[in-house]
Formats: sequence, structure tokens, C-alpha cells
Amino acid sequence: MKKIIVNSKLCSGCKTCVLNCSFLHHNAFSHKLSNIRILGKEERADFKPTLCIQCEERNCVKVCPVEAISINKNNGAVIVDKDKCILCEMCIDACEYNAIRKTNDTKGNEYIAICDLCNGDPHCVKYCRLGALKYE
Amino acid sequence: MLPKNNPQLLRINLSTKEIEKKEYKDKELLKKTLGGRGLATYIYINEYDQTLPPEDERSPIIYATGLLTSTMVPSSGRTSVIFKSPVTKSFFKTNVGGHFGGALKYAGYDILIVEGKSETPCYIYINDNRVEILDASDLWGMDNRKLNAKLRSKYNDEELQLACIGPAGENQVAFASIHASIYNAAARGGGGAVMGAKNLKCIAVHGNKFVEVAKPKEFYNAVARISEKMDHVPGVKGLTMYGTSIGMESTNAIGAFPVRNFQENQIDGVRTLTGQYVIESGLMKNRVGCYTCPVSCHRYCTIDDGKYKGTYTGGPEYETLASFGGGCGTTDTEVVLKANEYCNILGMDVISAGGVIQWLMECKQRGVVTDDIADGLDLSWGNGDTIVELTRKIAYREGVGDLLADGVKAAAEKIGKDSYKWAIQAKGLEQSRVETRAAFSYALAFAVNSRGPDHLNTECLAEFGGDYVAVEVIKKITGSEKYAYPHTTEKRPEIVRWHEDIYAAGDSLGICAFPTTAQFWMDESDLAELFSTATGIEITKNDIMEAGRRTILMERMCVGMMGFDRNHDKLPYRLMNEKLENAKHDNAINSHEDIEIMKDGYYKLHKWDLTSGLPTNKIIKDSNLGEFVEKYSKHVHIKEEC
Repeated sequence: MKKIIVNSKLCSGCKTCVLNCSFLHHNAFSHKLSNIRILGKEERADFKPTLCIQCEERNCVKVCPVEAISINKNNGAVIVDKDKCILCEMCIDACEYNAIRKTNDTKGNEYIAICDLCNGDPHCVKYCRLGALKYE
Repeated sequence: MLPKNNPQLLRINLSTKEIEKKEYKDKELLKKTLGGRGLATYIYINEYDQTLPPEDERSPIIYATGLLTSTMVPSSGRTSVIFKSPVTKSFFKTNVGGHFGGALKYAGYDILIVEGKSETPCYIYINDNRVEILDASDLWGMDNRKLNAKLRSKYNDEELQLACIGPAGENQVAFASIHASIYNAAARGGGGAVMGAKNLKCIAVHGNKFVEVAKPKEFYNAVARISEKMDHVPGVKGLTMYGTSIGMESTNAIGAFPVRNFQENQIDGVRTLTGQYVIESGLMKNRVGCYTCPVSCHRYCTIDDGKYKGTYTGGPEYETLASFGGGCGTTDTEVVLKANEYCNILGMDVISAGGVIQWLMECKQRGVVTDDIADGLDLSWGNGDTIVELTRKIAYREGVGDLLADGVKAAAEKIGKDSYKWAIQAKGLEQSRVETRAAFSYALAFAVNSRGPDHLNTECLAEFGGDYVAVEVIKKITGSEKYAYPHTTEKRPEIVRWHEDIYAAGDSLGICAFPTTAQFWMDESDLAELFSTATGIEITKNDIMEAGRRTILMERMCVGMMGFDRNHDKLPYRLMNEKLENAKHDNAINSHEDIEIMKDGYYKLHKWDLTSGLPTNKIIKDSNLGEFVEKYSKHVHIKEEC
């Protein structure tokens, strides 16, 4: 099964991925609406694309107290059931890759943001010209 | 905020501490200005007095994000900064990439205007609706890197974006720059000195809001199509790979590389000044992208060994390598990088800083000054330590740095003895390191540019016909591909005007100049489609070009109201009076005659008055700016309508 592969050394910090993710999921633009973040140190041009990489551990699934998190059997993406989720943030603490966060949608409602692989065609990868993100 | 909703203005007065928020609801105004640079220039004429001196506290500085800034349109993250320049005493538009514009937009503001003057050092903190003017006494004196680190730590916010000045801006160095994302600069014209005069250290912004477009599906399709086009145009991959200095060797080979203050046009060993070498040598550690720019032409370099070990900085760009390198008579990449680091952290324009150093070195060459003037530094061409130390001294106005800090025009007036002849400036601005004697569209563009002789109001690279796309553009403008030839005055006015129009339209939308005027993967139709789908206001490609031209017209009106005319439209003395030796073509000089012929053609195309080179009331009215005629005609008196 294909996974997101990050090569931070090729990331220029342009955040094209961030805004493509935001737009695809919310029809709006904001770094707050994206499932991918660029962390790191701007001063040192050290950019770290940070998102779910479909890890082996799947700690987020294991720790969820209400079984709101599951795995899409077709592509391996993490799925959050918003109706079940109680926003307890245990998944955020459990993720070793800093790939999950709590944020607000365009209506101001809080939700848990995790990469959902855009139904198997991740837009962050599609528009990353520098090859920092791959899906293979 | 734009693009879906109305433009939002935030106005802050540092004298009265008043903060005003204003919405511009007039859709026609948006259509005729395109937002960004165009709208900011309109507001500047409509709401401010152009005759006030730059240092008058009522003179504003305006930060205008592009209409598309903060969207996913590639290369759309740019912000224009507008002010009356303390160097040229005239209208000045400068422009910066980085990530500041996106943050300002997400905070809810398209345009920010700062007026007044604080009695003590201050900074502005913006977090959405929270807008504060705060004490900056503990930040004053800090370099740009330390300032960014300090404020990000204070607010525990790695997303905090700054538009800031370093010590050079505080000391009102004539070419002090405004920095965004630390290493990006609105560099030219002394915007940093304007902020310094206002006692404004920085504007720190965090935005939490979101931006929308009117027609999401159509907008997405347009962006996808343009992104696809980007990947198939020659030059884009090279720009990503090697940055703006990719063409250094070919520029040198054709004899168009200014060396030793424009005395020569080629340098031996140019390889170490190329983008290719910066990679081969291991100096480059990463590519850096402005907000939503997947081209990512910026570089990040470190020096890990030797004399300048520990240096780390954004850059070097073409202009940096030309200015501190070839222009100062050296091909030492590390010297260039060290000077580049000083400019980035102390906050200075690399073109002007290198320009004044070259001028001083030529003063020594010609026996006008000795090393004594430079506190004992060896002013011989190519002395790396001198180049680096002079750069630092300028920022702090130390010793000879104080002489150079007022710009090359003022320095030449102080030193006298014919030194104006090698002061490579016009209108008070040091020329970009572009050899205009080998490129006549550039020569005309530089002469009529409201800023002075530089390439950031108009980029006419296409006149060289470097690839088939450039040749097609020249054919589109002039009707024939034979004009893709830079050593003629023919059709230069047409080429310059077209490039000015699309450059201005691009600035208003927040688009970088590379897609529209260097590599041509965004044309007028693309800009029209992006504007229409983003705002929901349908416009055509002709509307785009007319709006760009309207911006150029408004800027020219400002130039007129500030007391300038066609007599100021000229190039540096050397370029107009000294022929380029060893040139590959016969007429390697920007002769007075050639420049005047091209200026006449340019003013005629614009339907401006030929005597003054300024807009007539008629063309102002015909350009749908009739509301400004009364104000304009109070300051500018044109006898005959052409």
C-alpha cells in the first residue's frame, strides 16, 4: 500500500502543499485549515513538512477512548469520525510524528485534523514540484 | 478580505495612536485597480498629500498585499510597499516576497497604512482584530535575525511574520531595506529608512482567519492549468535549480556583465559567481520559496570553513553576486556571501550597498581619494575584507560608512572632483547591475522608471530572445520576431510599455515578476481568469492590461505632483557618455540622442505630454481617473494637450 514519504531536505518552505490541502478540504485558504504543516526553523531554511505518514504503530487508533479513529482499508488513511470524536487530544499526544492537531473549521467548530490522503490522490504531493513529498 | 470579499484597510497613526479599519466596497474601484499595488496607489493619491517631504510624519508607508496573496496560485505571495523615497524624493513602489503578506491577509487586512511618527521606538503587533502599538526600546539595535527570534519566542509563535528593519533602517541609511521572512527584502528606495524615521522597528503579524474565492471550482481549474503550463516552459526548472544567477556565464560571455563599477563588461573566473558554483561548492544548503511559490528561486547558504566560517544567510541572488562580486572586482563567492549576510541582518539593499563601495574603489583608482578616507582599509579593487567591512560600516554609519550611507549621489557631491561621472545613479538611485548599453529596452525602462534605473518596475529580458517563448512575446508586442534584438531603439517603447503594464497588473495581484515578464507562464488571459474566478467580477485580458497601465499612469501623476518631469528620465552619466569597450555591437552606449528618441516614442504611446513627459488631463480622464484631475492640475501645469 502506498504511503506519504517526506524528504525534508528538498522542502523550500513555500507552503503550496498547505494551501492546496486547505482548499481541497474546506474550499478556503488558511494554514489553520490544512492537514499538513511546515515546521522547522526559517532562519536556517530548515523546513520540515509534517503530516501523517501512515506509520506502522498507529498509536492514534490505539489510544482513542471512543473508537473514533479507524483506518481506511483501501488506502491506509487515518479516518476520524467527527460524530464520535470527543476532542480529548489523546491521539495528538500519542502521535510520535507530530502529525495530528486540533484546529477550527471555517464555521469555528473544533476538529481533529489528520491527513486523509485525499481519497488516494494527495494534493500536497501533486503540487510539490521539488519532490519533498512523494506518495509511493 | 480579497479576493472574494471587499478589500480591508488597517490604518495606524503612530503620532496619535489612532487605529482605523475601513472597507472599500466599490467594485468598480477594484476592477480598475486590481487591488494590491494599484489600489494602494489610488488610495495614496486620493487620501494623501504628495508634496509633503518624505520625512514629514504625515507621509505614509503603505503595505499592500496582492489580491491573490494567501491563495494557492503559484508565485502569488508578494506584497507591494509604497512610500515617498528619502533618496529619490519621489514616488516609490517596492515589493517583497517571503511570508509576511500571507500572514497579514489571514489577520484580515489587504492593505496596511502606517502614518505619523512615534516619539520612542515602537513596533506594531497584529493578531487578527487585536492591533497594538508597543514599546520597542529593548528591540532597537537588534539585527533582523535576532529580532525575529526574540519576538517569536516572546509570543511563543513560530508562525509570527515580520516586516522589519535592522540597524541600517534605524540609522536611516538611504538604502535601508524592509525585511520579511528575514532574508526577503523590499530593498530599494529606502523604505527601511522611512520606517526608521517613524521609529517603527517592525510590524509583527499572526493571522488566524481564512480567505475564500468567489468561484472555487473554476478557480481551481485555472490554477491547475497554469501550474501545468509552468512545468512546460523553458527556464522554470533552471530557475528552481540554480536561482537567479543561472545565466551569469552567458551574461559575461556576451559582454553584458558590469565589472568594476561598469568600467568593464566581462570578468575572468566568473564561474565562482554562478548559481551552478554555489551548488558545486557545497555552499548552498537549501532552496527557499516565497509563500506559495513552488519555483523557489531563493537560496540558503552557509560557510563552514575558512575566514568567514559561521556565515549563514539567504542568497546570493544575481544582483548580490554582480554588486559585491564582479562590480567590486572580485569573484570570491564567500566575500559576496558575507556581505550578503550583513545586508540581510543589518537591513540594506545589496545593489546600492555594493554600488557605493564600487564607486569608492573607483575614486581611489582615479586618485580622488586615498585609503585614509576609509579608516585605513585598502580600497584596491577586489579586496574582500574591505568589501565586507565597508558593508558593515555603512549600516552603522561608522567612519567612511557615514559618507556612503547617504547613497552614491550624495557621496559624490561631497567628494566632488568629477566623481559624479562614475556615480552609477539616476534620480538618486544606484542602478541595478544591468548593462543597459547592451540592452536598449532595459535602457528605456530604466530611464522612465518612477523609481530610478532598476529592473523591478519593468523586466525586459525578452528583448534578448533567449528562448522561443521570449521571441513569441516580442512578436506579440511588436508584430515581428526581428525585434527580439536588444541593440536597437526600434520598438523599444512598445516593449517597455507592455512589460510595465503586465508587471504592474502582476504586482497588484501579488504575482512575482518571473511568471509574467521573464519566463512567461502567466499571460494577460491567465491573470484575467484568476481575477475573475477569485473575485466573481468578470474582466478580460484587456482590462488587466488597462488596469496595469492605469497604475503606471497614477504613479507618473505622483512623479509630476512631486515636481519631476522628463528631464529626470535619464541614465547614469557613465552609461550615457562612455562607450562600452570590447562590445559585441557598434552602438554600445546609451547616447542622449537614443534615449530621447525612445522617450518620445514611449510618451507618445502613453499619450502623455511630450514636452514634460507627464500625463495630460485628457489621458487621466480617458483612463477613468477623472476624479484626480482637479488635484493633479493644481500641481502640474501642461500647456498643450497632445
